[in-house]
Amino acid sequence: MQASALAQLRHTISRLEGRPATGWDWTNGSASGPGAGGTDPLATIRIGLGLEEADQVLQGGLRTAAVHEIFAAAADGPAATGFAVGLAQRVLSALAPAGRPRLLWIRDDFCELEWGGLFASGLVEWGLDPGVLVMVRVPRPLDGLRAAADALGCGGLAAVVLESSGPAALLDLTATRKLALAAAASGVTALTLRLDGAPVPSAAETRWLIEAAPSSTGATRRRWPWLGNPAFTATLARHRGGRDGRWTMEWDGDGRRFRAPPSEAIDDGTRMSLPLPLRPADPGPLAAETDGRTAGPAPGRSATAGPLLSRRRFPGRGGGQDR
Amino acid sequence: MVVAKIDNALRLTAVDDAAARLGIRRGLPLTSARAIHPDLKVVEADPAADQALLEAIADWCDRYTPFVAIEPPDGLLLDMSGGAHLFDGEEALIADITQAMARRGFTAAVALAGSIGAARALARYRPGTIVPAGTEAQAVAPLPAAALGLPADVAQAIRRAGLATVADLADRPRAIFSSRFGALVGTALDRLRGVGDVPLSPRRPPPCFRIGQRFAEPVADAAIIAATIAGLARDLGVHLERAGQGARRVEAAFFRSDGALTRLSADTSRPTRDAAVIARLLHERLEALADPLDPGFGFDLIRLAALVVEPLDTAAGAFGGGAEAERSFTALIDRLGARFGTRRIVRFLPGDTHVPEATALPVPAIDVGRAAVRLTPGATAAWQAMRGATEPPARPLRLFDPPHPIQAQPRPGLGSHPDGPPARFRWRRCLHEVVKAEGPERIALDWWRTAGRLPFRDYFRVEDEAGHRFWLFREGCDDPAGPESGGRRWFLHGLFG
Repeated sequence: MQASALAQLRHTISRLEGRPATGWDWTNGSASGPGAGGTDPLATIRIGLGLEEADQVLQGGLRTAAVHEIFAAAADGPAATGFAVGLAQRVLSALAPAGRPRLLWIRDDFCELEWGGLFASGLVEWGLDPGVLVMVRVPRPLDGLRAAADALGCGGLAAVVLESSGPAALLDLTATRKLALAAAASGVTALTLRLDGAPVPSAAETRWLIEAAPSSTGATRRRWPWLGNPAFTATLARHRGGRDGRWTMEWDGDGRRFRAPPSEAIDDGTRMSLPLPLRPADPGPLAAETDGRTAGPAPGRSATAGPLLSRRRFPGRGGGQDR
Repeated sequence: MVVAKIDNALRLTAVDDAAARLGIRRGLPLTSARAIHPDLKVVEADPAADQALLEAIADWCDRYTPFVAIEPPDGLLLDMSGGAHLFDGEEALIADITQAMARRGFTAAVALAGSIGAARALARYRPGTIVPAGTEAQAVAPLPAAALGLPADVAQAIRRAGLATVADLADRPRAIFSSRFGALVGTALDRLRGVGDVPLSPRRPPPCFRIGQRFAEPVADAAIIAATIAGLARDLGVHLERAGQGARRVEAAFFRSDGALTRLSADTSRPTRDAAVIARLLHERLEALADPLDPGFGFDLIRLAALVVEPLDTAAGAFGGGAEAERSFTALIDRLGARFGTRRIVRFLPGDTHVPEATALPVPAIDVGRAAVRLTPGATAAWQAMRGATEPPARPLRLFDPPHPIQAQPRPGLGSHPDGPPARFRWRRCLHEVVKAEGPERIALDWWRTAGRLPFRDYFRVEDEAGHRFWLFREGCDDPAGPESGGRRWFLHGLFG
């Protein structure tokens, strides 16, 4: 009797939260009901990132038919784009066989100017076929929100990415709630990419904060190190009904998944046996103009480190801590 | 009184009735007119404004027939073939046009004839005439010879020869005129008499299907307008179905009672005759207007037209859910296209080039699948990744077009290489220290577009200390006479994820 009342309450709560009543047992974190792979075509499934630690926290992965927010600081906008493209790729490849072969990417004109256009050849490198992508460029952010609300009602789409720039006040609790309801009704996954955005209360399922991370370097004995796979530090800042987390991950273009960066690559300061002529004696005219908006080293650091390093003809990487 | 400078003298180009009563006529020099009446009100001629007004009147005349042509400088030709009965006959039609023009402050001289040449001449010299088909020759006979519309010198020669009317010319053997005044006279005479008529070339391509709703009282209510559009869309759908066609572009025209005309058109990605779809697309277009549709004192005619149609077979309902998903997708594309413009909803086709900006051709999503797009070079090519196995992406996710110029500082010291990546660069007022780099990757530009020079770009993928990844290039040129490497500029072209 008591157990059935509990189940009844759980059912009510899940209905209020807009979740399908899958009979998920929240206490021990295992699916007990008929929900997974059920008969309902709109039933949500979970799409794993590929990174096991993250997928564990996410209880299997990102839920489809929900809104997920991706935030990034101004400088980390491209990294957040990469994260969104990776997620979209995984959602798409999971849902394309189920008759949802398309991706809609909505952005306003300001994003185009500020962050550059989405480059189809770059998407190919990430394993996303540009042929399935439909770009919608809208004049104003509000139009983007309207377009997204419309697109989330379209059953032929796997995911909708809504890109916005700046602290868009439009994507507030009410707006995201509408998007979440539309997504739940149609089964389309919504990713809101908030470049240079400030988090506000929202109805999103998860909220990610993305920062760029130095890529792991594959080759060592070179004049200068090469670039590794795209890497980011992803913070799961909000997760409805689950734990938060923070991981450094990289995109594996071959497996088309996120994974942990190779472990030896994390301390890359000691590995460089061939020294690098990284810094000149004179910080140079460019460095002298640094106006405090330096994206590289912190202001002041180059002023002190410059002459110090210059005496060492070939300083090792990592700024001389190994002295 | 309107004056313009003709042959270095200010001459009158238009006079009003009061002036005409004083004996002031068109073509008179202004000084002579002032001698007749010193108190003339004079306005300078503005041919551009006249032209614009004529265009607006032509738009308004679209209510009578889709075949409207402009007859410079001040005439309009309407092809009413088979359409006069819609306006209660020819007399009523002419009366309607004259009255409607008079209400708007214009004096219209109207004539109706079976050939363009006759109608044109009669409107100017015998306004109000209606000529039964086949009797054009008799109707134009009493007109003055000037009605032929010949060049001034020829017309003067004819007048000097004592030939006053069209009949004078028509009764005489043709060969005389040809030898004396040129072949033009014969042709003009034929046109006037309805022989060897030239077809009228309408201002706008005539629609394939057109249907309208006239209102006795002008309507301004949005609900009535929406209901009218829905009803017209239903009728249009019936006509389309009867012809086995579907509309690719529909247009709604709103004729305001004061003469203003607003046209809205919407495209569909596949032929449709579904009234609900057509009505909703036009509704989207109405919503998307920057300044809302101003009904003023109301619309007295709302019309729907299918401008582009394609054959549409009765849809064989496919089994399975794929067709439904596809249909909802194309409906979404159409709606967004109607709201934001079809050029803003794009899909990418691979371009057949190495120039990065051109590797992806944005094509309106609505056009993908059309024959013209299928023929685009590269439309059949497949996307291919540039990176090798286990390698990171070779192309950025975001591309700036045009590339952003940056200030780059070369790598100094012994280990440096003149063609290597920069040690640091400044972009958008931020300094980035390059810690990892890969390159150069040389991409040659289209040499056949730049005569004699062989421009190329040396691309580098670089990463700064924070892990931001950039796609830089240094422009170069295999031109011995070109700029030295010292003058080669750096650009930032893209951002990696």
